[in-house]
Amino acid sequence: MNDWFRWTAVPALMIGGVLPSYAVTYLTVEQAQQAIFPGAKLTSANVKLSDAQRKAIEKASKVRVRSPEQKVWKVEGGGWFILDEVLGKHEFITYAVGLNADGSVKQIEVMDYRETYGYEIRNQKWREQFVGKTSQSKLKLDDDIKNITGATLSSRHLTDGVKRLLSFYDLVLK
Amino acid sequence: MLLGVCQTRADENLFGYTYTADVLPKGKWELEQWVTGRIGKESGTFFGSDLRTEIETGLTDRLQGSLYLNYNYFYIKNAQGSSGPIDDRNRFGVSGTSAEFKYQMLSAYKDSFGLALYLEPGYGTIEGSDGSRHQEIELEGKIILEKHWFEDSLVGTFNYTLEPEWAKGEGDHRFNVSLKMEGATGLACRFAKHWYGGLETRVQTEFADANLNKSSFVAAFVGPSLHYGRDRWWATLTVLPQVWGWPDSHGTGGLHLDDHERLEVRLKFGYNF
Repeated sequence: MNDWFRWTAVPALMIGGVLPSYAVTYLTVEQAQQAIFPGAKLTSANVKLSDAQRKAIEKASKVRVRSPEQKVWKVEGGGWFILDEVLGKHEFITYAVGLNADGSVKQIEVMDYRETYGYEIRNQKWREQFVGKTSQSKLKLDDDIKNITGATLSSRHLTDGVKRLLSFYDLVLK
Repeated sequence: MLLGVCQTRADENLFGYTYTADVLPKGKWELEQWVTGRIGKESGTFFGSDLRTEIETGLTDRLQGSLYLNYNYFYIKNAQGSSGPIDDRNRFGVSGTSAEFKYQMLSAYKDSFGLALYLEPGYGTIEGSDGSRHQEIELEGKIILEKHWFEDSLVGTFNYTLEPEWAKGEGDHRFNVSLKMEGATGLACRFAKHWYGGLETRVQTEFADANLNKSSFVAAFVGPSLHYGRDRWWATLTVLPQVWGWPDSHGTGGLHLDDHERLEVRLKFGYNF
């Protein structure tokens, strides 16, 4: 048993140290804000959700709220910029959602993707499916949001994340 | 800038023995290397090592195909199985080849559970339990069920396997048929970035002459599995001691050490390209 531990653990650790890994930051927060609301003035309006608010969002969206802290910016002239994370295969995917003054999705941007694969969620055409969605939208994969073959986990978690943020807007920001 | 790359997270093995219903997307490739150590008979020294090199690809978005090359190393000295002695050996050899087809009917990421059908025809020339030369044709079929909870952080899977085998040992004049049946379960939890830890169970039995009234043995295994995954590669280690078997050296329940060993340890490594 001890021999086996040496034979397997040591090579595994060596491989872990040698093989490449990727961490790609596509956009900073400021760049994402400018991409969604060019030239607009944004004011930080972070929210800490109460237990009741978390439960209400989870009930409305049917998506778990992982953290009570939500990073939010209010856009001068109307609208919201929300920074969020969802689970990727191995790490978190950081993304931003811009909401119009009426609470509909203006644009989403994938800002930080820490895995090599799954880039398709950044494709503009795929992200455009979310434009105009509200808390009343289905936001269901293979229904009103097309799945990306081979990136199902990322597609579904991002779709669920947007659904949760729209409920957050509806129940907290509105 | 990374538009030439696409996601092939599918078919990352969270378990050493139990399969999930994931498949590679069409046109994607994965290279896997398996090393399985089988250690300990009734007495003496028994070390059997099964090595498997596999190349797999997505034939369609639902159908995955693979080719395996299997080879073994045996070191056996003064070993006794449950029913008698095993010849001494110190030998490495290529034991055969097999193919695998896995068809995903439901995805655990989109549907309420995952479901896949699996078929593995194979040809072998080395008997795994004692390293002796023989000829074996096998056809392994599985039903694979998979269920996810907590945003895919907890993964459960169940495999039901039927495997008819036609084997002809040294001195045999004809192939003898047998039927293996196995139930395997796995439960793995993502406990940190990149890491899954879990538990696997296997219960295997074999019926001589493929007659369900002629059970040759039963062996049950339970043990932990550990998985580490990064962007392009992953590794999984499972340690699976036999916890119960029949018949033991007294012909009753205990540990069955003819067809199986006291301990199995499997390390898998996969690389996507």
